[in-house]
Amino acid sequence: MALRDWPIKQKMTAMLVLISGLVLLLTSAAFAGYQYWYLRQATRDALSVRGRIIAANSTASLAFSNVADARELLSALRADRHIVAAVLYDKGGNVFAAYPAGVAGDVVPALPGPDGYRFEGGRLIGFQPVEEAGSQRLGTLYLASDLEAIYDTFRLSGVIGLAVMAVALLAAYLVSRVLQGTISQPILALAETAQVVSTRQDYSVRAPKLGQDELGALTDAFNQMLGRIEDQNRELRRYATELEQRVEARTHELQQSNETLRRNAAELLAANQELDAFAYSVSHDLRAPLRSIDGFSQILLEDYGAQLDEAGQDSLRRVRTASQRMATLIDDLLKLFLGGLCALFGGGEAGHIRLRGRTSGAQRRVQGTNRLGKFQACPFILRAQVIPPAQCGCQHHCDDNSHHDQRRSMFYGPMGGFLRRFHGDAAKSILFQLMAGLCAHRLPF
Amino acid sequence: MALLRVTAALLLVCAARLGAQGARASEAQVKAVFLFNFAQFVDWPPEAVPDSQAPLVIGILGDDPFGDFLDATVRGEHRGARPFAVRRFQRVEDITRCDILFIGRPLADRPEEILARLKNRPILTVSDADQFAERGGMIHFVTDRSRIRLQINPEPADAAHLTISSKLLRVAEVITPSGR
Repeated sequence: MALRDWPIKQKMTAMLVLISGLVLLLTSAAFAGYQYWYLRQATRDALSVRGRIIAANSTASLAFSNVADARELLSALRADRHIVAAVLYDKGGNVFAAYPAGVAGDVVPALPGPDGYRFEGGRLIGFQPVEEAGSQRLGTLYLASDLEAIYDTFRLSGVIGLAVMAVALLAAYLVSRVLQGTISQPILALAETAQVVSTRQDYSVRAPKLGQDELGALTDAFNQMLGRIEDQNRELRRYATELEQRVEARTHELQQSNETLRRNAAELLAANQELDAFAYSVSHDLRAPLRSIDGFSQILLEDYGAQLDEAGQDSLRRVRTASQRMATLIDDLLKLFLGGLCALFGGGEAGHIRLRGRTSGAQRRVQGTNRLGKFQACPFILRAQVIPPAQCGCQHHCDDNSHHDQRRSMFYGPMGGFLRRFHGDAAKSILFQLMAGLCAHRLPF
Repeated sequence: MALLRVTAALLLVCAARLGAQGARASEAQVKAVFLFNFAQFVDWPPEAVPDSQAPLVIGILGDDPFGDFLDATVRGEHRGARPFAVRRFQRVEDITRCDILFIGRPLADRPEEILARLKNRPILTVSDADQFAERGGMIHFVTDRSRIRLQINPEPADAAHLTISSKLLRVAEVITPSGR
């Protein structure tokens, strides 16, 4: 398993043990390096001191050629098992005395070398001048020591270091197992809580807070976040419930409104039928006889007035005046009717009927022929307005430009709801008669 | 440098006298070197040293067995700041200033009289006369199977306020006639 997949407990324990091991290793390496350097220095210093002592005691032996005394002096070195060889050279460079007796020639240099101590050939060797204070040099002392003392100490230190490292690592492992819980437990608790929230979608659970450190602050923040999510969920559920209730109420209102509209439409249909009957009655039953009476009376006056006496002419005039007064009465009655009709259909100004045309071309033709102006001149009343095709209410003939002249355009608009049901000559006739009855002008349809 | 000179002089003298005097010449040379070396292992009382640069005098009373070898040996050498000087005396009365005195023959055959004249003077007396140490001398050269050994009587040295190094005493045979 990869390191990143380890449980956090194992990670922390491994980290602590690794860090402890690394620290111990570096410390041991530094200590071993220092000890090796120190041992070499100490061994060299010790051999140097030993050489100076022997050299100082060998002066008389060399000065007075006492070989036995020199050998006796050198034999004292047997107390040091690491001394490989010791040689006294006289001032001529000849071997004066040597230790041990019969030492091998490869260990003893034939001639003394430069003064000083140095590591050479796996040994520590040194040439110490033998001289009495303030006098000439009497000879040279050669000492050779193996490095077993260094290696022995180094091996012992290594064993001790390994033992200490093993004990320290074991202690670090045990301590880390105890201490890692202070960090891993809050994290594990958070992870467990997050898992519960994720699987159950339960935002009411809370992570236990185990301390006041940063992990404690993290736990608080996590719990607060869960609380906010829980509150928001509660609010969302409440809003959804209210929305459902509102939709239901609004639907009910719409259903009622539709019902009202259906009733209004039925009433309008009935009113339209009554209006049809009324208009027909006005235009045919009332105005047509009057118009005939007035017309024929006028013909009589104009064509046959000379044949009538004054009383006949006065009678005809009276007939015309009465018919015209009757027409005025009918006009007033129709005006009253149209006022109610306009209020009924368009909701606009009383007596104002808004007729819709089809195209700007149609408007131009209307203006060119001044036919629309005749409507506009009508005092109570009809005003024809030509509007663009896009706003046209035409449902029947807009696809046929040939039929959309100025006359047909007058069938649309608020009045269109009423007039649209009549097409062709029937509609033309109804409107013509209506206009003719309402206005004093004869419309040239 | 001084060592080289001493070595060269030793070799030259040895080469010159080898044929004529043989082993005897070597013995004299060794004794000459020993005389020179005594200066390294003996301390004189301060009153015996006029100044720090006064020569350290090696005197020879009577016959001189060393010839020029002793002069060559000490030439250019110093003990501290004191140079060495070799002087030869025929009579003990001639000895005015001396630090190491080798008593040669025939005077060495009667050392008591000379030693009595030199009693308590800070002079290291040396001789190869028989039983010189037992007879009141300080250092006696003893020839034993071609080797020269030393016999030292510390009592007259103490009386003369001379301090003999223990190193020298270790390589020598200490003679105490009074039995102390």
